[in-house]
Amino acid sequence: MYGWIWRRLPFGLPGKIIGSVVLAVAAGAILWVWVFPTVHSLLPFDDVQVGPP
Amino acid sequence: MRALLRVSGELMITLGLIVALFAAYEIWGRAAIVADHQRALDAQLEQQWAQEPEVAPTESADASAEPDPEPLSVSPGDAIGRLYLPRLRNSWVVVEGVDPQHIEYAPGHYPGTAMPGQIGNFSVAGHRTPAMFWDLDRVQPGDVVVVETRSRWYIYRVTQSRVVPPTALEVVAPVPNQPGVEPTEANLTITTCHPRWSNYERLIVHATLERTQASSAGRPAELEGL
Repeated sequence: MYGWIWRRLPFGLPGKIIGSVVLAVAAGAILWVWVFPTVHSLLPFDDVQVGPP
Repeated sequence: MRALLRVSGELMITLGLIVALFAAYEIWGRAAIVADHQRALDAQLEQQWAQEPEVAPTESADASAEPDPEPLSVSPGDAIGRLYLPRLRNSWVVVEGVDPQHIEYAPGHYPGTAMPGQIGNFSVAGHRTPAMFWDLDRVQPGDVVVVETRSRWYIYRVTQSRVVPPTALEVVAPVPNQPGVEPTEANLTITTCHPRWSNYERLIVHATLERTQASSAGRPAELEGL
C-alpha cells in the first residue's frame, strides 16, 4: 500500500519525501479535526452526572 | 500471498498509529479545546459581572454573615461563577446545566440544586478528563474548595470523598445522602466519572461551607499561590 503510493509520487526523491509528508499531515489533520471529535462524542467519557436509571 | 500479508501488516500498523494519535487527541487535544472555551467563558463572566447592577444596595454590619442573593434566573449554558480546587492547582468557570452540551467544556451546575453559598447543596458535574477533574481522587477531606460569584467568595471544606453507582441521586440532595431532609447548612457536591475513561461509577466529593468573604475583600487566603 505504502510502496504503491511511494512509487506514484512524482519529482524524484525530494518530491517523494515532500509528497509523503504532505499526505501524512493531511491524513492526521482530517483525523484530528473531523474524525476524532465525532468518535469522542460516541464514547462514554461524557457521563459524569448522577441521574435516575 | 506475500502482497496480501504486506498490505494487512501495513493496515495494522496504520491502525495502531491512528489509535495512538487518538489517545494524544483525548489528552492534549481536548485539554486545548477546553482551555479555549474556558477563556471565552471567563471573558463572558467578567463582562456579565461588570454589567450586573449591585444586588445588595446596603452593605450593613451583618452583611458578611448573610450571603448576598445571587441572580435568581439563570439559563442553561450561562456562566455562573468560578470553582477553585487548590489541591489540584486549578480553577474553572462553572456553567448552568448538566446536559452533554453544557458540560462539554466546563463543569456544570445541577439545575434546581442550591446556588453557591445558599442553604442546600450546590452540586456540580464535570468530566474526568485531564483538563478537568482527572485528579479529583486526590482531593481529600479537609481540603478547601472555593467558589467565586460576582459579589462573594465561598470557602468550603471537603468532608467526604467516595465512589457511588451512577444512580445515586441522593448525593445531590439538599442534605447530601439524606433525601427529603430539610437542609440547615450550605453544602457543595462535585460529581465526575469513575474510573477514569469509563462511566460505570461516579466519584463524589462533598464539602460544607466554612466561611464567606466579600469580593471587595480580595482573594481569600486559601487561594494563596494558585
